[in-house]
Amino acid sequence: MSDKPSDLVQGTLEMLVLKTLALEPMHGFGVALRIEQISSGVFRVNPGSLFPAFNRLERAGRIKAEWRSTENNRRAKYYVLTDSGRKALKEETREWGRQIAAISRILEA
Amino acid sequence: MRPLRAFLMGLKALCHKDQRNRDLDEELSGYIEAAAQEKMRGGMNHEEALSAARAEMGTMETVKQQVRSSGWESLAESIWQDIRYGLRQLIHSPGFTVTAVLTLALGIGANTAIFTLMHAVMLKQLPIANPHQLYRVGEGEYYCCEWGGLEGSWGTFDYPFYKHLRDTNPSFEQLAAFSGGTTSFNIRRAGSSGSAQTAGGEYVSGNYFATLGIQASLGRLIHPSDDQSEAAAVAVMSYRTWKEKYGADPAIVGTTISLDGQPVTLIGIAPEGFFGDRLSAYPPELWIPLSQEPAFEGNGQKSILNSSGDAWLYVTGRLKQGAVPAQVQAQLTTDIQHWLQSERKLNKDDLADLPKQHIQLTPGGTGISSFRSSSKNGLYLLSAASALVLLIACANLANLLLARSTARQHQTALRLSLGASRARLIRAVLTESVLLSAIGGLAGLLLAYLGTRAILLIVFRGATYVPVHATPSLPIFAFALLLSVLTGVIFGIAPAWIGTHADPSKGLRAASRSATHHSAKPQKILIILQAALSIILLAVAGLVTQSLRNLEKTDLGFQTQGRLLASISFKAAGYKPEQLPARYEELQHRLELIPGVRSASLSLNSPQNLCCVNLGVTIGGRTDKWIEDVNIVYNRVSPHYFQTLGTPLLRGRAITDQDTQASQHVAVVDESFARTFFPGEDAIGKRFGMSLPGHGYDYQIIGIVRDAKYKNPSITASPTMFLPFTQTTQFGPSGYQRLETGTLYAQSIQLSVTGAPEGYEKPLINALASVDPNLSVVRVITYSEQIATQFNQERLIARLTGLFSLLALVLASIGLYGVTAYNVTRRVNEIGTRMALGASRGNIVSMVLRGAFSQVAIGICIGLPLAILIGRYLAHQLYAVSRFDPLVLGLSAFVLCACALIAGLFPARRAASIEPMEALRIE
Repeated sequence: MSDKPSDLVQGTLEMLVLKTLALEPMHGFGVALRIEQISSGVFRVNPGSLFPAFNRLERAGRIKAEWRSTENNRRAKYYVLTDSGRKALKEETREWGRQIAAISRILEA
Repeated sequence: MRPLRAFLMGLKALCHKDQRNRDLDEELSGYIEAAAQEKMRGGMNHEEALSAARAEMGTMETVKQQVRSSGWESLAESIWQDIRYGLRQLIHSPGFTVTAVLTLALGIGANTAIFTLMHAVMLKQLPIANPHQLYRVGEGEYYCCEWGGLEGSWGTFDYPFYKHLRDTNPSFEQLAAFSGGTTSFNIRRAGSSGSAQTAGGEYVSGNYFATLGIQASLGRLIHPSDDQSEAAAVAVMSYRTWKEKYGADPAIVGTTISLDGQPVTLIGIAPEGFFGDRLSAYPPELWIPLSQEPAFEGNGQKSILNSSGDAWLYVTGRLKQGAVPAQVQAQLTTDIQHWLQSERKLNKDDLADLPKQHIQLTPGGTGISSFRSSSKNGLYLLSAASALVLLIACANLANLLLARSTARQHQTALRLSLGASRARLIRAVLTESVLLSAIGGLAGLLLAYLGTRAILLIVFRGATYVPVHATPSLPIFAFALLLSVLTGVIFGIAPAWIGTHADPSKGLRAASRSATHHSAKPQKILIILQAALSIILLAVAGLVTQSLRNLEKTDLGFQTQGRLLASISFKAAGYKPEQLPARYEELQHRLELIPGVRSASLSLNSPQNLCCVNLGVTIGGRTDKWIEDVNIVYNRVSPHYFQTLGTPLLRGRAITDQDTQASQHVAVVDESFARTFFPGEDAIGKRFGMSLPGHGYDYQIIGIVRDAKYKNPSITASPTMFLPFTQTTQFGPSGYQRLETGTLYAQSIQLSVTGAPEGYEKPLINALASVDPNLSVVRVITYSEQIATQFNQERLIARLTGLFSLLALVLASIGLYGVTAYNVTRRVNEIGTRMALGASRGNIVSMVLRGAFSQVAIGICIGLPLAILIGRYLAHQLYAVSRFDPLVLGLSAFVLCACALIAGLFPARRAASIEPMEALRIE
């Protein structure tokens, strides 16, 4: 955690959110925390971009929201991946992989 | 699917705004809570953790705003906000709003009214199937081209050429012919003993209805099989006539009616919206196959159906798929040249003109309308004038908005510094201006409806049927809407741009004084523009009015007061040519017995009405080539004709009862006839005749009358000859023989009466009925009314351009007043200082007036050359108006200056009444 947190690569936030939710339904902070932890603190997600991303994904039908109670018995909005979200994640992951591979090839050439 | 879901969820979010807001609040505070918990795990106490979590998130409102703006509904919402804000602004300043809406309503209303006319007259297609496929062979409108001659650009054709085209031209799917004008028929239901009615009928080819692609509303329409010389006589009636004259009685279809005494089967009723191939105030009431023309015209030489060289048919066809109009046109031109060469006996001069003969293919979907061709230029002029008015209105509104935005400078600066984007502010101002223009457009539509109705009343004064409706249709609505939005953007864009061009720090620091300075320039430019446009409009209106004045003041060469004019059809009443002279004499005698009638007469044509038969003459013993090229107007008149019309007899005698078939054949000619053919000698006693070999001595000139204007005064008058009804000449088989018998039928009756001519309509009709109940009057009108209807269009155009220029003047004056008054308010301080330093009140008044005048003067300098240019272009369309009229131009400039003086005087007086001490104290 010595480095400063980086900005996310443009357009990847939604993919990361989908990936995070693919494990289990989570609330907003849970998603933010999970992304931060898994990236070992490289990415820190700002609520100002996270919540609009939830809104967009929900509009697109990739996730849906439901109110559940948390482990310490508070009401929170949980986001659940839908079938179409799962499909989109697969698609985006494959596309991302192709692009990364291509970029790496260029950088290593 | 996805856009739909996004739309629905956006809609839900809009509808349940509070619920959604609460959810978001809860979610976000949950987030902070969870973040704080996480931080407490790291060792912070609750307070610290909470405030750290809050600091990381930033303000909750910002996040919420970000979430909200991620959907489409936020844009819709902000536009809605702009609209509500705009409406509030408008309600807060009712004076401004009312002024603006009125200005816009006038501007948009004027344009929409003119567009309604344009649309109806020039753009609207006839109510027929696929009208864009229809093309007319030829162009122009002809009334009197029955005898041969080469037309140059051909518009009407003889029947043999039509048949040739129909049977040989490969480019048309269908090619129909029709007579264009209507012929009066006496119509009577079988077994009915009531008096006959007159109906206008048009001769059409058998495929006429099929070519237009229309279906009968009852019965059937004319088929090609009806258009055969041995086919049974049939006719189709117009829907309107069926409804108005026969009470929409379905039983009439299939029955036999009597047309000019001949039995004809009425086979069907045309569809409701179909008024024939043209826009006319007198649409055809009957359609009759071409093949029946000989039967109605006496089967003899009077029939023109099978004669060669008599161009009386309009030809319209449906082009085949893929046919290129330009190619078809070239092919038609080749066709007519070949045809003329092989079928006509062309003389040397005609042969020289042969290469000039051509046929234009014109789109036929809008019909052949004399109204259209004659009013095209007028309509263009009016649209230009109304567009100028709207531009001036836009300039005015732009000025008003500029002044408002200057007043709001402080507010704008505040908004900008609070983070509003400039684009958003521009959008808000534009929303306000478009709102204004939309309201103005609505009011304008109403004005346009009323205006169009008034215009139609003037144009179709005296007509039984008005082929144009004032009720706005979809295209009119679309036009008004588009115009409104466009107007709103045009007058809003400059103020929006300039008004939001504020440096927030500067705008907030200083009072509005420093910020207003740079907006004075656009205002001045707008005033200059208005002045320039106004002077152009004023000059144009001046010219057009001058032209109308000239037309109305023209000496027509006969008296219009105390005269009554009736149109009549002896042919429809079934008269044979040999019966006519005796009947004329009896009728004239009977009419002159009516108490109060000074004299009565009959004629083929009368001035400013049903004009004219044109032909050429030869003069016995003279062989000059130019003689037969002179276009002569031909008329037949009864005794007392000249005295009834009040045309002075200059020399010799008029036609009398003593001129009979047995006596010397005579003619009366007018001055210009005498001057043209017998310059410097006495025309009385000279002889002339029709331009046929051997006829140069047929008529002896017995009298010379003053020139009278038979046609529109703006058309150069032709020399005129008058023959008695009682003398006929044998010409052998030729167009002249048909002319000779055809012109024996008088079409017009004139009465000269004491007192108001209106009171003689009844006695006239009764007198006719007492002579022959079959003689029905087509139309009775006083001569002054007849003359008035002749100038309907000119009058309308003059009045409307006058009205538009007045509007422009008022708008420009208001604009000038507004800007000057505003500048005075802005300069109170400066004026106070000047006065304190010794400037007199007179100095101040002249300073303010100078400011106002300098703008108007620049406007006049720009506008005058343009007005001169436009005047030069217009002059040839107007009557007796010179290409450069210093009086009209000077008067326009003077009127504009006078208005500027008035508009500037009020603010100037206010400026002069400023008390220096008070003005300085404000600072």
